[in-house]
Amino acid sequence: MTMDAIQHQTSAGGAEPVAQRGASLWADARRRLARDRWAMLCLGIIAFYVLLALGGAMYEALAAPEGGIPTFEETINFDQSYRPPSLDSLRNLLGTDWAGRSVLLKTVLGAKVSLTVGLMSNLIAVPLGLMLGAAAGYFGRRTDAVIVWLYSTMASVPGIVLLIAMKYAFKNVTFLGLNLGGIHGLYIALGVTAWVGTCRYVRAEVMKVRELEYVLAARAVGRGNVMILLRHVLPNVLHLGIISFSLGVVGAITAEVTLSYLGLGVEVGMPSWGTMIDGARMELHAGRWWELASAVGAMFLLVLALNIFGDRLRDALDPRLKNV
Amino acid sequence: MTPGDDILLSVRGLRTYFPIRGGLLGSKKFVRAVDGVDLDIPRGATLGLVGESGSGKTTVGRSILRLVHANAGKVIFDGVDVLSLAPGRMRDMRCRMQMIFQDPFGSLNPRMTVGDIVAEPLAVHRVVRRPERRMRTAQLLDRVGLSPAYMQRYPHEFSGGQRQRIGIARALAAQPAFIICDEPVSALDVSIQAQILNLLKDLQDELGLTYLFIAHNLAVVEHFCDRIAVMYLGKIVETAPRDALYNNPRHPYTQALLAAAPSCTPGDGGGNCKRLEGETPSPVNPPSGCAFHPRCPLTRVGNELAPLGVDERCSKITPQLAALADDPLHAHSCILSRD
Repeated sequence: MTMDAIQHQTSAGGAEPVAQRGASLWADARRRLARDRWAMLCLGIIAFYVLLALGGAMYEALAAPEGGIPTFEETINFDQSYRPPSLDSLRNLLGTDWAGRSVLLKTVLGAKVSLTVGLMSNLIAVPLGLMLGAAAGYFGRRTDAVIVWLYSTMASVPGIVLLIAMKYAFKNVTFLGLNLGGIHGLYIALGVTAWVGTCRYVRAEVMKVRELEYVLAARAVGRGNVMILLRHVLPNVLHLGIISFSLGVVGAITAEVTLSYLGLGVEVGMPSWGTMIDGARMELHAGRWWELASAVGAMFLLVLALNIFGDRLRDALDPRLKNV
Repeated sequence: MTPGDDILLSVRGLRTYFPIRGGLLGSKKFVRAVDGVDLDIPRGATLGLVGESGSGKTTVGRSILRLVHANAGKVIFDGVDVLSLAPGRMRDMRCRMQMIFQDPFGSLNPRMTVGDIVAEPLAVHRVVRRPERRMRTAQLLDRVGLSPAYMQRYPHEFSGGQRQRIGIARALAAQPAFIICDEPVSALDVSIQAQILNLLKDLQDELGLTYLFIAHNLAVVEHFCDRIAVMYLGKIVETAPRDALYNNPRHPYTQALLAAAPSCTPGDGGGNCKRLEGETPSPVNPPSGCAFHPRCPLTRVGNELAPLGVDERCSKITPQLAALADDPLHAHSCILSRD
């Protein structure tokens, strides 16, 4: 009698306890990720930034003009301009900017902008890439030709040029009551340009999965295309979406910084790392390095953590690396 | 097949070509995976379909189930032409024809629990109502020799043999009359192979199933099938009842296949076996006449009509299957072995 027959007998006889619920591949990936120290360290850093951003959002919500807590604009105090970092007070921990505002507070508010841009633009880009990639890979033929043409066209234009063009086009445009000239336009511009990578990966993977026998089996059983896509194909390429998301946030954050630096990002006056770098670059020769250093340092740490975490996540979700 | 037999599945002139783009100018060519196949399977019987890799046997199975698009031919299942059914009626038909796949690792969705996999046909065809589905799934798992406690587990937690049992349970769930077994044991260890074959045999006896058993292992086919069809390059070259085929193979390709199968007797075969030379030709450009002639030992050895190596009849005439004079159930397509 061979192993599986023996196993069956013992388990059916109740001699060997059988786990009621098996470990799904997701649970498996989670477990492997939890054991990865680097991944957990980076996740901790990301969580710290998220808390900072939430704090920034809370401050903005609580601060009211003429009220108890002064808004960021109301902290302008030209007597305090260009104070270098000092340990005297929390306000001056990272120094002050040209208008005497706290660079620490500015950096925290910038984290909020960066994370929101990363999140929102990827909430547009990743589902778009997943859907288009899955449709192209699964249906092939004309659908595929149209979608491949679309993303090849997108990819043939340098990303930054496309972003600048879109931001120019969005200037003074309002859509559903949202001013597309500012940060909302940024979400959309980044969202509709960043799906190309996800779409490519997903399309290739779906073309592979489509030919697997479990998809044939589902068809043999009489499942229609939509159900096969939803139940059999998408769950098996969803990890690509998650990986794209974690790495896509990095792209969105750096793009926001670049665009804001060029004056095409967030609204004028909104504190973000990009506007901080833009504003501070002229002051470097005067020895006022702290604003630039704060913005760059904050961005560097977050981008590094996101990148490492994204890599580790990919390793954890890749079934081929399972037993490494 | 005697005329009185109750034929469940009858395939006539099945052709499945896959388009490929070839050459600089992108001229369209076709892989002739299945090139005019006729089959008849009586109710409750097992037909073995054997051939080398690339001979098109898997494509025959997939074409019958309309998992790939057949270009021409008829598939008559219980009096109904499957290939011309409207999508809605085809869905109903799928209840009655199922498939067991070759790769026990690729044929189960890794993101679904075993219970969901086995219950999928039940859900699609509403064989039983939702509350009874779990019980029915448990019965099916039990029937194929797996503990119903495995229902909440995932495929990657099982061995190859267990996975193949799950695949069998899924095929049975729709309560089919006919199952295509596409090399169901070729990916398994030898000891597990026997268990799976016995399970399939038991199920056939119990449920009156009809099988099309696709394989490249002649030893497996010999013990499992009532009738055997040998395929070469998209065509059937010989078909006969099992014993007739094994004891009296007529087509040189069948003879070569049988000679190539390992023998149980030491010292047997070896030196005098007819080894096949060369590769299977490309199904994009099959050889003229008999597709087997470039590799055929008969066409050049001991044949006075072939002074230059190849008998002209073999390279010019496209042979048809013809029954033996003394055995109407035994047909082959070799012109040289006709007499």
